[in-house]
Amino acid sequence: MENATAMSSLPTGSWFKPTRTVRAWPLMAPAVGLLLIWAIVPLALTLWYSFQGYNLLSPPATFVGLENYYFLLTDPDLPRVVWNTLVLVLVPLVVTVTAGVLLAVLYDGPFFGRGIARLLVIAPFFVMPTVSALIWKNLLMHPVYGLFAWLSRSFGMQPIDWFTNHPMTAIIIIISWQWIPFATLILLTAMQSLDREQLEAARMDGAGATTSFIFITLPHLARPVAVVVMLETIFFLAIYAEILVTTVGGPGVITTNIPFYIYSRGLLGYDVGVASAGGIFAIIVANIVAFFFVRAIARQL
Amino acid sequence: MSGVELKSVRKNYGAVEVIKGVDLTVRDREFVVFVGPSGCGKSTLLRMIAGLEEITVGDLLIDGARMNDVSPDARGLAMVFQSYALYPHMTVAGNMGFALMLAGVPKAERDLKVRQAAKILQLEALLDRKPGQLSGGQRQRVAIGRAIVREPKVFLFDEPLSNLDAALRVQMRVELAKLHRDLNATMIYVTHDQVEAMTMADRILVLRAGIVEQVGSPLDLYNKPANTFVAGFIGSPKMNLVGASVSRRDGQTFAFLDGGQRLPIGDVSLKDGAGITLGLRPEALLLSAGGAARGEVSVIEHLGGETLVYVDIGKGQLLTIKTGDQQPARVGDIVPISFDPSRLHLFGPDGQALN
Repeated sequence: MENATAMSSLPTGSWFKPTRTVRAWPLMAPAVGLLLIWAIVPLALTLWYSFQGYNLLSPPATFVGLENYYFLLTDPDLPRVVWNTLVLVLVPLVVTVTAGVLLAVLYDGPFFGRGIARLLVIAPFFVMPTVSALIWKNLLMHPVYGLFAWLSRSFGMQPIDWFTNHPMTAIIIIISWQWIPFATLILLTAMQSLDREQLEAARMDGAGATTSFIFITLPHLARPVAVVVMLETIFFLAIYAEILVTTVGGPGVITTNIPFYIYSRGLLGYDVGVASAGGIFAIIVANIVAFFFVRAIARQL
Repeated sequence: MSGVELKSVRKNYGAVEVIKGVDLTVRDREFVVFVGPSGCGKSTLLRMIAGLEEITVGDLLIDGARMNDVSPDARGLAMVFQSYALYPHMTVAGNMGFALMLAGVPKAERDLKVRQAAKILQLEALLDRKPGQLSGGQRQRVAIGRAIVREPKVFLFDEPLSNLDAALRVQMRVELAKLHRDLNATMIYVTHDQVEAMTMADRILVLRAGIVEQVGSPLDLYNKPANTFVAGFIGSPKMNLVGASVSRRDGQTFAFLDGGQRLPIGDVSLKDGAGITLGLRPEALLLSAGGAARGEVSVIEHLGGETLVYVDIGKGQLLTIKTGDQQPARVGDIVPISFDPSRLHLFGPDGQALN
């Protein structure tokens, strides 16, 4: 009631110009304000702590200037960490997009049991990252009682200890498995908007299955592929759960990417200052990647 | 010689038969139009010729060679699709040269052929554009150009004008007829629009529910429709089809209209009381005294050059009368109707023409 009274007694004097924008902003303010706080507060705090020498084991925080950044950039692990981050973005991107395109084309055609097959191909996406990483680690890739080890032994071969000998490959496999459904789903819907008459026209023009795939289907999928690449890049830059559950960044820092590096500095090393500097560094890396993608892809959209 | 021959061709989808035995010979350089209401199978028939649909039973011969199992691109045909089906990411030139590129024709020769076709269709200025930047009529031209470049034995058109607006459709109709003359090519054209069929065809095939109702020149179909379906389908406005029964009196044969009126007709070999259908084209009916029947004017449509008068001849049965007179009557008038007996069509109880 009080509110209603306040609203109705809004000043209507000459200083108040009820333009559309002015009238709308009180209504927009909660949403804009919330988003602003949501984004700005963590960023500001990270920036603040990145200039503090703040170890959780020896509080309080003291201002140290650029010392955290100096420590971060001279860390001998950093090149490897950046490299891992890029590998964990690019390789799963290539794998998921390639597999997504092939599966989308395959699942677009009619065949027996297509409905169930489509459901199954999308299913991995519903499994949360931690769970799928655990399944892969303990049920499939475990060197002693994993399914792959059993298969290797059945063929008389030495089981592969994935997380010791091929830790990056193992993580890439897990991530790709999780994200192929996403790429398939988007590309499958795109396939359904492909004009059948175009394919028929190509057939009359003498295009076989491969040529019409290259000249008609792939160009048609260019845009949705760009969307998939852009969205997946955002998620792949932040991969964390799969590493935590399987390799814990190791052996050494062989599977540590920037998010996991920040975690290990902050919550394993209790060094909030360096972790925050790492966070700022991650933002810069993400922006560099985004810059290239925006230039390459946004033009297409 | 580029003839197409269909020999009792049939098409089944599972248990459903959609083409129920079609025989047709398309002669060299002939323009044949398949016409019929939607769902009659005319597009399916065309796609069977193109090779996009399997032929269940029967033979398809092109230039005397059996083509049932030959792949679409090897049949020497080119098709223009209803949606144009242009490749959206290729330029106009790329679209038109695509078949040649796949066939491995050298670039110089390809460009030359594309340029020639573009010249015929006045597309030269648009060769570097993408289909998305073209208007409907221009896309239509590109689709035709893509067919021309291949120098096919036979052109196939699947309702190519149905996505155009009325004015453009008339213009493209004229251009297609001209193109047919200039290219001296065999063409098969599918449409549901009987005006397109009448204006462009050398011969028309009228199809209904997978059955050929009649094949003939446009004027044959107009003057001698084989049955009530063709009679009602060809000609605009539609032919008046009036139910009646045969009755003989004083040595003369009459048709008793369902509306209660009586018209003298020539002798027919039908029993008294047999149900027949009288067919009278709107342009064969006159509003003049001494008429055989009369009725009340219920609607008048003024088209300027002609006027359509709808006359109620009893029991709500409307006759359409086409006249050049701009003010032939008023709504509500009782008018006499007469006609030239030689332009009366009679159809028997089974709907087939009697004479």
